[in-house]
Amino acid sequence: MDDYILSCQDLTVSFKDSEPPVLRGLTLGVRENEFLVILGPGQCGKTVFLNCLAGLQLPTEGAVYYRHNKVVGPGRERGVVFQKYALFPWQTVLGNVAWGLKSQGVSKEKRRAIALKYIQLVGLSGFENAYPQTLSGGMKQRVGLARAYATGPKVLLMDEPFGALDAQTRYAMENELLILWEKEKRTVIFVTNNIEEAVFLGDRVILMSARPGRIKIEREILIPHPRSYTDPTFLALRQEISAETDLAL
Amino acid sequence: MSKTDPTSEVVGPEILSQRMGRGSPSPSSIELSTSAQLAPPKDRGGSKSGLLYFFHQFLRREYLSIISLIVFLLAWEGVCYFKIIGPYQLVPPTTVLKVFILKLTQVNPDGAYLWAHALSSLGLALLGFLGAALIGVPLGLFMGWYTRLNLVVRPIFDLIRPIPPIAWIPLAILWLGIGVKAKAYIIFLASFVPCVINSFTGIRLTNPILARVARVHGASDFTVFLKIGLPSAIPMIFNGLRLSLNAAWTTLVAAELVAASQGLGFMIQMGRRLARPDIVIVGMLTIGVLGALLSWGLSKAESHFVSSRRLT
Ligand SMILES: Nc1ncnc2c1ncn2[C@@H]1O[C@H](COP(=O)(O)OP(=O)(O)OP(=O)(O)O)[C@@H](O)[C@H]1O
Ligand SMILES: [Mg+2]
Repeated sequence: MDDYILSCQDLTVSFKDSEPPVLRGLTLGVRENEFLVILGPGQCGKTVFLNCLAGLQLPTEGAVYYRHNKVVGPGRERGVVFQKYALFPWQTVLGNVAWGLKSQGVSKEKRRAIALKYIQLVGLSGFENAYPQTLSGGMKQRVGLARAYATGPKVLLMDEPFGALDAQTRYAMENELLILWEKEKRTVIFVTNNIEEAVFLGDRVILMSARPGRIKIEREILIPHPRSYTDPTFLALRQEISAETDLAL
Repeated sequence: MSKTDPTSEVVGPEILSQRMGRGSPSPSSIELSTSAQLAPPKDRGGSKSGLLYFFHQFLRREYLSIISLIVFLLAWEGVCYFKIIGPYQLVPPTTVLKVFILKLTQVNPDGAYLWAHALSSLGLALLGFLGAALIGVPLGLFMGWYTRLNLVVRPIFDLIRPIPPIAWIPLAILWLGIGVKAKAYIIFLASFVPCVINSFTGIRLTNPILARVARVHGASDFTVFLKIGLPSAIPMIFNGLRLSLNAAWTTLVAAELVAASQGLGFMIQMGRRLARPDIVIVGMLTIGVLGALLSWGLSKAESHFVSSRRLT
Protein backbone atom coordinates (compact mmCIF):
# COMPACT_ATOMS: atom_id res chain seq x y z
CA MET A 1 0.00 0.00 0.00
CA ASP A 2 3.00 2.23 0.46
CA ASP A 3 3.44 3.06 -3.21
CA TYR A 4 -0.17 3.95 -3.69
CA ILE A 5 -1.52 7.45 -3.49
CA LEU A 6 -5.10 6.22 -3.39
CA SER A 7 -6.23 2.72 -2.60
CA CYS A 8 -9.19 0.75 -1.44
CA GLN A 9 -9.44 -2.48 0.53
CA ASP A 10 -12.31 -4.94 0.19
CA LEU A 11 -14.71 -2.21 -0.74
CA THR A 12 -18.32 -3.32 -0.56
CA VAL A 13 -21.32 -1.07 -1.08
CA SER A 14 -24.88 -2.22 -0.85
CA PHE A 15 -27.98 -0.07 -0.68
CA LYS A 16 -30.61 -2.72 -0.07
CA ASP A 17 -30.08 -5.94 1.83
CA SER A 18 -32.45 -7.74 -0.51
CA GLU A 19 -30.29 -7.07 -3.55
CA PRO A 20 -26.75 -8.14 -4.35
CA PRO A 21 -24.29 -5.42 -3.42
CA VAL A 22 -23.47 -2.81 -6.05
CA LEU A 23 -19.75 -3.27 -5.35
CA ARG A 24 -18.24 -6.33 -3.73
CA GLY A 25 -14.77 -6.77 -2.31
CA LEU A 26 -13.01 -4.27 -4.53
CA THR A 27 -9.30 -3.96 -3.83
CA LEU A 28 -7.27 -1.55 -5.88
CA GLY A 29 -4.22 0.67 -5.62
CA VAL A 30 -3.48 3.72 -7.73
CA ARG A 31 0.10 4.86 -8.24
CA GLU A 32 1.08 8.49 -8.12
CA ASN A 33 0.66 10.28 -11.46
CA GLU A 34 -0.87 7.23 -13.03
CA PHE A 35 -3.66 7.53 -15.57
CA LEU A 36 -5.95 4.74 -14.49
CA VAL A 37 -9.04 3.96 -16.51
CA ILE A 38 -11.98 2.11 -15.04
CA LEU A 39 -14.00 0.51 -17.77
CA GLY A 40 -17.41 -0.99 -17.19
CA PRO A 41 -20.87 -1.39 -18.66
CA GLY A 42 -23.70 0.95 -17.72
CA GLN A 43 -25.11 0.64 -14.20
CA CYS A 44 -22.24 -1.52 -12.98
CA GLY A 45 -21.45 0.82 -10.12
CA LYS A 46 -18.76 3.01 -11.62
CA THR A 47 -20.24 6.18 -10.21
CA VAL A 48 -20.77 4.59 -6.82
CA PHE A 49 -17.14 3.48 -6.82
CA LEU A 50 -15.90 6.93 -7.74
CA ASN A 51 -18.12 8.49 -5.09
CA CYS A 52 -16.48 6.20 -2.54
CA LEU A 53 -13.05 7.35 -3.65
CA ALA A 54 -14.21 10.96 -3.48
CA GLY A 55 -15.58 10.43 0.01
CA LEU A 56 -19.13 11.27 -1.04
CA GLN A 57 -20.30 7.74 -0.33
CA LEU A 58 -19.25 5.73 2.66
CA PRO A 59 -18.67 2.03 1.96
CA THR A 60 -20.75 -0.62 3.69
CA GLU A 61 -17.58 -2.61 4.27
CA GLY A 62 -13.91 -2.00 3.64
CA ALA A 63 -12.22 1.36 3.35
CA VAL A 64 -10.61 3.86 1.02
CA TYR A 65 -7.19 5.27 1.85
CA TYR A 66 -5.51 8.41 0.66
CA ARG A 67 -1.85 7.53 1.21
CA HIS A 68 -2.14 6.16 4.72
CA ASN A 69 -5.20 7.99 5.86
CA LYS A 70 -8.62 6.49 5.82
CA VAL A 71 -11.03 8.53 3.75
CA VAL A 72 -14.09 9.59 5.73
CA GLY A 73 -15.33 12.45 3.58
CA PRO A 74 -14.49 14.71 0.65
CA GLY A 75 -11.05 16.25 0.73
CA ARG A 76 -9.14 18.96 -1.04
CA GLU A 77 -6.59 16.48 -2.36
CA ARG A 78 -9.26 14.70 -4.41
CA GLY A 79 -11.02 16.61 -7.17
CA VAL A 80 -13.98 15.37 -9.18
CA VAL A 81 -15.18 15.92 -12.74
CA PHE A 82 -18.80 14.83 -12.80
CA GLN A 83 -20.66 12.68 -15.29
CA LYS A 84 -23.23 15.31 -16.16
CA TYR A 85 -21.56 18.65 -16.51
CA ALA A 86 -22.73 19.80 -13.08
CA LEU A 87 -21.90 23.45 -13.60
CA PHE A 88 -23.58 26.12 -11.51
CA PRO A 89 -25.96 27.74 -13.99
CA TRP A 90 -26.02 31.00 -12.05
CA GLN A 91 -22.26 31.42 -12.25
CA THR A 92 -20.10 32.44 -15.19
CA VAL A 93 -17.28 30.23 -16.42
CA LEU A 94 -14.93 32.22 -14.21
CA GLY A 95 -17.27 31.90 -11.24
CA ASN A 96 -17.59 28.17 -11.74
CA VAL A 97 -13.86 27.59 -11.99
CA ALA A 98 -13.10 29.82 -9.02
CA TRP A 99 -15.89 28.36 -6.88
CA GLY A 100 -13.82 25.78 -5.06
CA LEU A 101 -11.07 28.30 -4.37
CA LYS A 102 -13.56 30.64 -2.81
CA SER A 103 -14.73 28.01 -0.39
CA GLN A 104 -11.09 27.41 0.50
CA GLY A 105 -10.71 31.04 1.45
CA VAL A 106 -8.30 32.06 -1.31
CA SER A 107 -8.17 35.84 -1.81
CA LYS A 108 -10.12 37.36 -4.66
CA GLU A 109 -7.23 38.37 -6.92
CA LYS A 110 -5.55 35.05 -6.43
CA ARG A 111 -8.74 33.16 -7.19
CA ARG A 112 -9.09 35.11 -10.39
CA ALA A 113 -5.51 34.51 -11.41
CA ILE A 114 -5.69 30.77 -10.79
CA ALA A 115 -9.06 30.41 -12.48
CA LEU A 116 -7.91 32.36 -15.53
CA LYS A 117 -4.84 30.17 -15.80
CA TYR A 118 -6.89 26.99 -15.97
CA ILE A 119 -9.51 28.52 -18.22
CA GLN A 120 -6.67 29.28 -20.59
CA LEU A 121 -5.21 25.78 -20.19
CA VAL A 122 -8.47 24.15 -21.23
CA GLY A 123 -8.74 26.53 -24.16
CA LEU A 124 -11.64 28.66 -23.02
CA SER A 125 -9.97 32.07 -23.03
CA GLY A 126 -12.51 34.65 -24.08
CA PHE A 127 -15.38 32.76 -22.47
CA GLU A 128 -14.62 33.77 -18.88
CA ASN A 129 -17.84 35.69 -18.54
CA ALA A 130 -20.08 33.33 -20.47
CA TYR A 131 -22.77 31.41 -18.64
CA PRO A 132 -22.87 27.60 -18.90
CA GLN A 133 -26.15 27.55 -20.84
CA THR A 134 -24.48 29.30 -23.74
CA LEU A 135 -21.68 26.72 -24.00
CA SER A 136 -21.56 23.52 -26.03
CA GLY A 137 -21.20 20.17 -24.30
CA GLY A 138 -17.48 20.02 -24.95
CA MET A 139 -16.95 23.50 -23.60
CA LYS A 140 -18.99 22.74 -20.50
CA GLN A 141 -16.83 19.76 -19.73
CA ARG A 142 -13.73 21.89 -20.24
CA VAL A 143 -15.09 24.13 -17.52
CA GLY A 144 -15.62 21.04 -15.39
CA LEU A 145 -12.00 20.06 -15.96
CA ALA A 146 -10.71 23.53 -15.17
CA ARG A 147 -12.81 23.65 -12.02
CA ALA A 148 -11.46 20.32 -10.81
CA TYR A 149 -7.88 21.35 -11.62
CA ALA A 150 -8.13 24.80 -10.08
CA THR A 151 -8.20 23.72 -6.46
CA GLY A 152 -4.97 21.82 -7.01
CA PRO A 153 -5.97 18.28 -6.09
CA LYS A 154 -3.41 15.49 -6.19
CA VAL A 155 -5.95 13.02 -7.54
CA LEU A 156 -8.55 13.74 -10.19
CA LEU A 157 -11.61 11.53 -10.31
CA MET A 158 -13.38 11.75 -13.64
CA ASP A 159 -16.78 10.14 -14.12
CA GLU A 160 -17.42 9.57 -17.83
CA PRO A 161 -16.51 13.18 -18.50
CA PHE A 162 -16.92 12.82 -22.26
CA GLY A 163 -19.79 10.37 -22.19
CA ALA A 164 -22.34 12.90 -23.40
CA LEU A 165 -20.25 14.27 -26.26
CA ASP A 166 -20.45 13.41 -29.93
CA ALA A 167 -17.64 11.24 -31.30
CA GLN A 168 -15.65 14.03 -32.85
CA THR A 169 -15.75 16.35 -29.86
CA ARG A 170 -14.99 13.41 -27.69
CA TYR A 171 -11.85 12.54 -29.64
CA ALA A 172 -10.68 16.14 -29.50
CA MET A 173 -11.32 16.30 -25.77
CA GLU A 174 -9.44 13.05 -25.15
CA ASN A 175 -6.42 14.50 -26.86
CA GLU A 176 -6.66 17.74 -24.96
CA LEU A 177 -7.03 15.94 -21.68
CA LEU A 178 -3.79 14.08 -22.38
CA ILE A 179 -2.02 17.32 -23.25
CA LEU A 180 -3.31 18.89 -20.05
CA TRP A 181 -2.26 15.86 -18.08
CA GLU A 182 1.25 15.99 -19.56
CA LYS A 183 1.49 19.66 -18.67
CA GLU A 184 0.23 19.26 -15.12
CA LYS A 185 0.79 15.71 -14.01
CA ARG A 186 -1.82 14.44 -11.62
CA THR A 187 -3.09 11.06 -10.65
CA VAL A 188 -6.17 10.51 -12.77
CA ILE A 189 -8.87 7.93 -12.28
CA PHE A 190 -11.00 8.04 -15.37
CA VAL A 191 -14.28 6.16 -15.61
CA THR A 192 -15.72 5.23 -18.97
CA ASN A 193 -17.86 2.66 -20.72
CA ASN A 194 -16.00 3.09 -24.00
CA ILE A 195 -13.25 0.57 -24.76
CA GLU A 196 -11.46 2.71 -27.31
CA GLU A 197 -11.42 5.66 -24.98
CA ALA A 198 -10.01 3.41 -22.26
CA VAL A 199 -7.21 2.04 -24.42
CA PHE A 200 -6.51 5.45 -25.91
CA LEU A 201 -6.05 7.19 -22.56
CA GLY A 202 -5.00 4.74 -19.89
CA ASP A 203 -1.67 3.68 -18.46
CA ARG A 204 -3.69 0.90 -16.99
CA VAL A 205 -7.22 -0.29 -17.59
CA ILE A 206 -9.42 -2.00 -15.04
CA LEU A 207 -12.43 -3.81 -16.39
CA MET A 208 -15.41 -3.99 -14.05
CA SER A 209 -18.26 -6.47 -14.12
CA ALA A 210 -21.82 -5.64 -13.16
CA ARG A 211 -23.86 -6.67 -10.09
CA PRO A 212 -21.90 -7.16 -8.03
CA GLY A 213 -19.28 -4.74 -9.33
CA ARG A 214 -15.88 -6.38 -9.24
CA ILE A 215 -12.59 -6.17 -11.04
CA LYS A 216 -12.69 -8.60 -13.94
CA ILE A 217 -9.37 -8.02 -15.61
CA GLU A 218 -6.57 -5.52 -15.39
CA ARG A 219 -4.17 -4.51 -18.20
CA GLU A 220 -1.15 -2.24 -18.28
CA ILE A 221 -1.03 -0.34 -21.54
CA LEU A 222 2.49 0.44 -22.60
CA ILE A 223 1.78 1.94 -26.02
CA PRO A 224 3.41 5.39 -26.02
CA HIS A 225 1.34 8.52 -26.58
CA PRO A 226 0.06 9.77 -28.92
CA ARG A 227 -1.72 6.53 -29.62
CA SER A 228 -3.39 5.75 -32.87
CA TYR A 229 -6.73 4.02 -33.15
CA THR A 230 -5.37 1.99 -36.06
CA ASP A 231 -2.11 0.92 -34.49
CA PRO A 232 -1.94 -2.94 -34.48
CA THR A 233 -1.07 -3.12 -30.78
CA PHE A 234 -3.99 -0.84 -30.04
CA LEU A 235 -6.35 -3.00 -32.03
CA ALA A 236 -5.08 -6.18 -30.45
CA LEU A 237 -5.59 -4.80 -26.97
CA ARG A 238 -9.03 -3.55 -27.82
CA GLN A 239 -9.86 -6.98 -29.15
CA GLU A 240 -8.58 -8.65 -26.04
CA ILE A 241 -10.56 -6.46 -23.69
CA SER A 242 -13.74 -6.61 -25.69
CA ALA A 243 -13.53 -10.39 -25.69
CA GLU A 244 -13.79 -10.17 -21.92
CA THR A 245 -16.87 -8.02 -21.94
CA ASP A 246 -20.30 -7.84 -23.32
CA LEU A 247 -19.73 -4.19 -24.14
CA ALA A 248 -20.70 -3.23 -27.63
CA LEU A 249 -17.79 -2.01 -29.68
CA MET B 1 -42.94 12.08 4.41
CA SER B 2 -42.89 12.44 0.66
CA LYS B 3 -40.19 14.54 -0.87
CA THR B 4 -42.32 16.81 -2.93
CA ASP B 5 -45.71 17.94 -1.88
CA PRO B 6 -48.38 17.60 -4.53
CA THR B 7 -50.80 20.28 -3.47
CA SER B 8 -52.82 22.84 -5.27
CA GLU B 9 -50.53 25.62 -4.09
CA VAL B 10 -47.64 24.17 -5.99
CA VAL B 11 -47.18 24.78 -9.65
CA GLY B 12 -45.03 22.06 -11.11
CA PRO B 13 -41.61 22.91 -12.46
CA GLU B 14 -42.67 22.29 -16.05
CA ILE B 15 -45.41 24.85 -15.82
CA LEU B 16 -43.03 27.10 -14.03
CA SER B 17 -40.41 26.85 -16.70
CA GLN B 18 -42.99 27.50 -19.36
CA ARG B 19 -44.03 30.58 -17.53
CA MET B 20 -40.43 31.58 -17.07
CA GLY B 21 -39.86 31.00 -20.71
CA ARG B 22 -42.45 33.59 -21.48
CA GLY B 23 -41.74 35.93 -18.63
CA SER B 24 -38.00 36.08 -18.87
CA PRO B 25 -36.67 34.87 -22.15
CA SER B 26 -32.92 34.64 -22.48
CA PRO B 27 -31.36 37.51 -24.39
CA SER B 28 -30.99 35.47 -27.54
CA SER B 29 -34.59 34.34 -27.55
CA ILE B 30 -35.77 37.89 -26.98
CA GLU B 31 -34.16 38.87 -30.22
CA LEU B 32 -35.54 35.85 -31.98
CA SER B 33 -39.09 36.19 -30.79
CA THR B 34 -39.39 39.93 -31.32
CA SER B 35 -37.92 39.82 -34.75
CA ALA B 36 -40.18 36.91 -35.58
CA GLN B 37 -43.25 38.72 -34.35
CA LEU B 38 -42.44 42.14 -35.63
CA ALA B 39 -41.23 41.12 -39.03
CA PRO B 40 -44.30 41.45 -41.21
CA PRO B 41 -44.96 38.36 -43.29
CA LYS B 42 -45.55 40.54 -46.33
CA ASP B 43 -43.98 43.96 -46.36
CA ARG B 44 -46.53 46.22 -47.99
CA GLY B 45 -44.15 49.12 -48.11
CA GLY B 46 -45.81 51.02 -45.24
CA SER B 47 -43.78 53.12 -42.84
CA LYS B 48 -41.69 50.64 -40.92
CA SER B 49 -40.79 52.93 -38.09
CA GLY B 50 -42.51 54.97 -35.45
CA LEU B 51 -45.72 54.82 -33.55
CA LEU B 52 -47.92 54.06 -36.51
CA TYR B 53 -46.02 50.93 -37.39
CA PHE B 54 -46.08 49.77 -33.79
CA PHE B 55 -49.81 50.43 -33.56
CA HIS B 56 -50.41 48.58 -36.78
CA GLN B 57 -48.52 45.55 -35.51
CA PHE B 58 -50.29 45.72 -32.19
CA LEU B 59 -53.68 45.64 -33.91
CA ARG B 60 -52.58 42.82 -36.14
CA ARG B 61 -51.60 40.71 -33.15
CA GLU B 62 -54.34 41.65 -30.71
CA TYR B 63 -57.35 42.46 -32.88
CA LEU B 64 -59.37 39.49 -31.68
CA SER B 65 -58.94 40.48 -28.04
CA ILE B 66 -59.78 44.08 -28.80
CA ILE B 67 -62.93 43.14 -30.67
CA SER B 68 -63.94 40.80 -27.88
CA LEU B 69 -63.54 43.55 -25.29
CA ILE B 70 -65.53 46.05 -27.34
CA VAL B 71 -68.36 43.58 -27.90
CA PHE B 72 -68.46 42.81 -24.20
CA LEU B 73 -68.70 46.49 -23.24
CA LEU B 74 -71.35 47.15 -25.86
CA ALA B 75 -73.41 44.20 -24.66
CA TRP B 76 -73.11 45.42 -21.10
CA GLU B 77 -74.17 48.94 -22.10
CA GLY B 78 -77.06 47.47 -24.09
CA VAL B 79 -78.30 45.32 -21.21
CA CYS B 80 -78.55 48.47 -19.08
CA TYR B 81 -79.90 50.69 -21.87
CA PHE B 82 -82.79 48.34 -22.64
CA LYS B 83 -83.39 47.83 -18.92
CA ILE B 84 -82.91 44.07 -19.18
CA ILE B 85 -81.31 44.46 -15.79
CA GLY B 86 -82.57 47.39 -13.76
CA PRO B 87 -80.46 50.38 -12.62
CA TYR B 88 -80.52 49.18 -9.01
CA GLN B 89 -78.82 45.95 -9.98
CA LEU B 90 -76.43 47.04 -12.70
CA VAL B 91 -75.11 50.29 -14.14
CA PRO B 92 -73.61 50.65 -17.62
CA PRO B 93 -69.86 51.03 -18.24
CA THR B 94 -70.27 54.69 -19.11
CA THR B 95 -71.72 55.34 -15.67
CA VAL B 96 -68.98 53.28 -14.07
CA LEU B 97 -66.41 55.48 -15.76
CA LYS B 98 -68.24 58.63 -14.64
CA VAL B 99 -68.46 57.44 -11.04
CA PHE B 100 -64.84 56.36 -11.12
CA ILE B 101 -63.72 59.87 -12.08
CA LEU B 102 -66.12 61.41 -9.61
CA LYS B 103 -64.84 59.24 -6.77
CA LEU B 104 -61.34 60.55 -7.25
CA THR B 105 -62.40 63.94 -5.95
CA GLN B 106 -65.43 63.13 -3.87
CA VAL B 107 -65.85 61.29 -0.58
CA ASN B 108 -69.58 60.63 -0.85
CA PRO B 109 -71.41 58.36 -0.43
CA ASP B 110 -69.07 55.94 1.26
CA GLY B 111 -66.89 58.30 3.25
CA ALA B 112 -63.52 58.42 1.48
CA TYR B 113 -61.82 59.17 -1.83
CA LEU B 114 -61.27 56.21 -4.10
CA TRP B 115 -57.50 56.58 -3.86
CA ALA B 116 -57.74 56.67 -0.08
CA HIS B 117 -59.62 53.38 -0.13
CA ALA B 118 -57.07 51.95 -2.55
CA LEU B 119 -54.08 53.11 -0.50
CA SER B 120 -55.54 51.72 2.68
CA SER B 121 -56.18 48.36 1.03
CA LEU B 122 -52.77 48.28 -0.61
CA GLY B 123 -51.05 49.02 2.67
CA LEU B 124 -52.98 46.30 4.43
CA ALA B 125 -52.37 43.67 1.76
CA LEU B 126 -48.69 44.48 1.51
CA LEU B 127 -48.28 44.39 5.28
CA GLY B 128 -49.76 40.90 5.48
CA PHE B 129 -47.94 39.74 2.38
CA LEU B 130 -44.52 41.01 3.44
CA GLY B 131 -44.92 39.50 6.88
CA ALA B 132 -45.81 36.15 5.33
CA ALA B 133 -42.89 36.33 2.90
CA LEU B 134 -40.38 37.26 5.60
CA ILE B 135 -41.40 34.37 7.83
CA GLY B 136 -42.80 31.84 5.37
CA VAL B 137 -39.98 31.73 2.82
CA PRO B 138 -37.16 31.04 5.30
CA LEU B 139 -39.37 28.56 7.15
CA GLY B 140 -40.14 26.65 3.96
CA LEU B 141 -36.48 26.64 2.94
CA PHE B 142 -35.29 25.35 6.27
CA MET B 143 -38.03 22.74 6.36
CA GLY B 144 -36.99 21.55 2.91
CA TRP B 145 -33.33 21.32 3.88
CA TYR B 146 -33.43 20.03 7.42
CA THR B 147 -35.53 16.88 7.69
CA ARG B 148 -35.74 17.09 11.46
CA LEU B 149 -37.24 20.56 11.38
CA ASN B 150 -39.69 19.36 8.75
CA LEU B 151 -40.78 16.50 10.99
CA VAL B 152 -41.35 18.90 13.86
CA VAL B 153 -43.18 21.65 11.98
CA ARG B 154 -45.08 19.59 9.40
CA PRO B 155 -47.90 18.21 11.56
CA ILE B 156 -48.78 21.63 12.93
CA PHE B 157 -48.52 23.23 9.53
CA ASP B 158 -50.67 20.54 7.93
CA LEU B 159 -53.29 21.05 10.60
CA ILE B 160 -53.49 24.80 10.10
CA ARG B 161 -53.13 24.80 6.32
CA PRO B 162 -56.65 23.68 5.33
CA ILE B 163 -58.38 26.22 7.58
CA PRO B 164 -59.66 29.02 5.35
CA PRO B 165 -58.24 32.38 6.45
CA ILE B 166 -61.75 33.79 6.81
CA ALA B 167 -62.47 31.23 9.52
CA TRP B 168 -59.81 32.98 11.58
CA ILE B 169 -61.76 36.24 11.68
CA PRO B 170 -63.51 35.65 15.02
CA LEU B 171 -60.31 34.59 16.75
CA ALA B 172 -58.36 37.37 15.12
CA ILE B 173 -60.82 39.88 16.53
CA LEU B 174 -60.69 38.30 19.98
CA TRP B 175 -56.91 38.32 20.01
CA LEU B 176 -56.03 41.47 18.16
CA GLY B 177 -59.08 43.68 18.36
CA ILE B 178 -60.75 45.26 15.38
CA GLY B 179 -57.89 47.37 14.12
CA VAL B 180 -55.32 46.95 11.39
CA LYS B 181 -53.62 44.15 13.30
CA ALA B 182 -56.46 41.67 12.99
CA LYS B 183 -56.89 42.39 9.30
CA ALA B 184 -53.19 42.12 8.58
CA TYR B 185 -53.11 38.87 10.52
CA ILE B 186 -55.83 37.31 8.36
CA ILE B 187 -54.07 38.38 5.18
CA PHE B 188 -50.82 37.12 6.63
CA LEU B 189 -52.35 33.68 7.18
CA ALA B 190 -53.70 33.58 3.64
CA SER B 191 -50.36 34.37 2.04
CA PHE B 192 -48.23 32.38 4.48
CA VAL B 193 -49.13 28.93 3.17
CA PRO B 194 -48.05 29.29 -0.48
CA CYS B 195 -44.79 30.92 0.64
CA VAL B 196 -43.91 27.96 2.83
CA ILE B 197 -44.97 25.22 0.43
CA ASN B 198 -43.30 26.64 -2.64
CA SER B 199 -40.03 27.46 -0.90
CA PHE B 200 -40.08 23.95 0.53
CA THR B 201 -40.63 22.37 -2.88
CA GLY B 202 -38.12 24.68 -4.50
CA ILE B 203 -35.25 23.73 -2.28
CA ARG B 204 -36.16 20.07 -2.57
CA LEU B 205 -35.62 20.45 -6.31
CA THR B 206 -31.95 21.27 -5.76
CA ASN B 207 -29.88 19.17 -8.12
CA PRO B 208 -28.09 16.69 -5.83
CA ILE B 209 -25.12 16.64 -8.18
CA LEU B 210 -24.57 20.36 -7.72
CA ALA B 211 -24.73 19.84 -3.98
CA ARG B 212 -22.13 17.11 -4.40
CA VAL B 213 -19.86 19.45 -6.35
CA ALA B 214 -19.99 21.86 -3.47
CA ARG B 215 -19.29 19.15 -0.94
CA VAL B 216 -16.29 17.94 -2.93
CA HIS B 217 -14.94 21.44 -2.60
CA GLY B 218 -15.23 21.20 1.14
CA ALA B 219 -18.42 23.22 1.62
CA SER B 220 -20.25 22.72 4.90
CA ASP B 221 -23.89 21.73 4.90
CA PHE B 222 -24.99 25.27 5.64
CA THR B 223 -22.80 26.63 2.86
CA VAL B 224 -24.36 24.16 0.46
CA PHE B 225 -27.77 25.35 1.64
CA LEU B 226 -26.89 28.99 1.01
CA LYS B 227 -24.84 28.67 -2.15
CA ILE B 228 -26.58 25.81 -3.96
CA GLY B 229 -29.97 25.23 -2.36
CA LEU B 230 -31.06 28.85 -2.21
CA PRO B 231 -30.29 29.78 -5.83
CA SER B 232 -31.90 26.54 -6.99
CA ALA B 233 -35.05 27.43 -5.07
CA ILE B 234 -35.38 31.01 -6.30
CA PRO B 235 -37.76 30.33 -9.21
CA MET B 236 -40.11 28.40 -6.95
CA ILE B 237 -39.79 31.03 -4.23
CA PHE B 238 -41.00 33.64 -6.67
CA ASN B 239 -43.78 31.34 -7.72
CA GLY B 240 -44.83 31.14 -4.09
CA LEU B 241 -44.62 34.90 -3.72
CA ARG B 242 -46.87 35.37 -6.70
CA LEU B 243 -49.47 32.98 -5.30
CA SER B 244 -49.11 34.65 -1.90
CA LEU B 245 -49.68 38.09 -3.28
CA ASN B 246 -52.71 36.75 -5.07
CA ALA B 247 -54.01 35.21 -1.85
CA ALA B 248 -53.35 38.41 0.07
CA TRP B 249 -55.26 40.50 -2.43
CA THR B 250 -58.21 38.14 -2.72
CA THR B 251 -58.55 37.86 1.05
CA LEU B 252 -58.63 41.62 1.33
CA VAL B 253 -62.38 42.04 0.95
CA ALA B 254 -63.02 39.41 3.59
CA ALA B 255 -60.49 40.95 5.95
CA GLU B 256 -62.10 44.34 5.56
CA LEU B 257 -65.35 42.87 6.84
CA VAL B 258 -63.69 43.39 10.21
CA ALA B 259 -65.02 46.76 11.24
CA ALA B 260 -63.31 48.81 8.59
CA SER B 261 -63.89 52.46 7.88
CA GLN B 262 -61.78 52.53 4.76
CA GLY B 263 -60.55 50.23 2.05
CA LEU B 264 -61.85 48.85 -1.22
CA GLY B 265 -63.60 45.97 0.51
CA PHE B 266 -65.32 48.44 2.80
CA MET B 267 -66.30 50.56 -0.18
CA ILE B 268 -68.00 47.59 -1.81
CA GLN B 269 -69.84 46.81 1.40
CA MET B 270 -71.04 50.38 1.64
CA GLY B 271 -72.14 50.28 -1.98
CA ARG B 272 -74.27 47.25 -1.22
CA ARG B 273 -75.77 48.77 1.89
CA LEU B 274 -76.63 52.00 0.06
CA ALA B 275 -77.94 50.00 -2.93
CA ARG B 276 -75.42 51.70 -5.19
CA PRO B 277 -74.23 49.14 -7.77
CA ASP B 278 -72.08 51.82 -9.38
CA ILE B 279 -70.00 52.13 -6.22
CA VAL B 280 -69.76 48.34 -5.94
CA ILE B 281 -68.60 47.97 -9.52
CA VAL B 282 -66.06 50.78 -9.30
CA GLY B 283 -64.67 49.13 -6.17
CA MET B 284 -64.55 45.73 -7.78
CA LEU B 285 -62.83 47.00 -10.90
CA THR B 286 -60.30 48.92 -8.84
CA ILE B 287 -59.51 45.75 -6.92
CA GLY B 288 -59.11 43.86 -10.18
CA VAL B 289 -56.89 46.43 -11.84
CA LEU B 290 -54.68 46.95 -8.78
CA GLY B 291 -54.35 43.20 -8.31
CA ALA B 292 -53.27 42.79 -11.91
CA LEU B 293 -50.78 45.63 -11.50
CA LEU B 294 -49.32 44.06 -8.36
CA SER B 295 -48.87 40.70 -10.10
CA TRP B 296 -47.35 42.41 -13.06
CA GLY B 297 -44.92 44.31 -10.85
CA LEU B 298 -43.88 41.14 -9.09
CA SER B 299 -43.29 39.20 -12.29
CA LYS B 300 -41.27 42.14 -13.65
CA ALA B 301 -39.13 42.06 -10.53
CA GLU B 302 -38.91 38.31 -10.83
CA SER B 303 -37.87 38.18 -14.46
CA HIS B 304 -35.30 40.88 -13.83
CA PHE B 305 -33.93 39.15 -10.76
CA VAL B 306 -34.08 35.61 -12.09
CA SER B 307 -32.77 36.18 -15.58
CA SER B 308 -30.00 38.54 -14.53
CA ARG B 309 -28.76 35.80 -12.25
CA ARG B 310 -29.42 32.93 -14.68
CA LEU B 311 -31.49 31.07 -12.16
CA THR B 312 -33.66 29.18 -14.57
N1 LIG C 1 -28.05 6.08 -3.55
C1 LIG C 1 -28.42 4.91 -4.10
N2 LIG C 1 -29.42 4.18 -3.57
C2 LIG C 1 -29.79 2.99 -4.11
N3 LIG C 1 -29.23 2.47 -5.20
C3 LIG C 1 -28.23 3.14 -5.79
C4 LIG C 1 -27.77 4.39 -5.27
N4 LIG C 1 -26.76 4.84 -6.04
C5 LIG C 1 -26.61 3.91 -7.00
N5 LIG C 1 -27.47 2.89 -6.85
C6 LIG C 1 -27.55 1.69 -7.69
O1 LIG C 1 -26.28 1.25 -7.97
C7 LIG C 1 -26.19 0.79 -9.30
C8 LIG C 1 -24.96 1.34 -9.96
O2 LIG C 1 -25.14 2.72 -10.14
P1 LIG C 1 -24.01 3.64 -10.77
O3 LIG C 1 -24.60 4.97 -10.96
O4 LIG C 1 -22.78 3.57 -9.95
O5 LIG C 1 -23.75 2.94 -12.16
P2 LIG C 1 -22.77 3.44 -13.30
O6 LIG C 1 -21.85 2.33 -13.61
O7 LIG C 1 -22.15 4.74 -12.92
O8 LIG C 1 -23.77 3.64 -14.49
P3 LIG C 1 -23.67 4.65 -15.72
O9 LIG C 1 -22.75 4.05 -16.71
O10 LIG C 1 -25.08 4.72 -16.23
O11 LIG C 1 -23.18 5.96 -15.20
C9 LIG C 1 -27.46 1.18 -10.00
O12 LIG C 1 -28.20 0.04 -10.30
C10 LIG C 1 -28.19 2.04 -9.02
O13 LIG C 1 -29.54 1.70 -9.02
MG1 LIG D 1 -22.25 6.68 -13.66
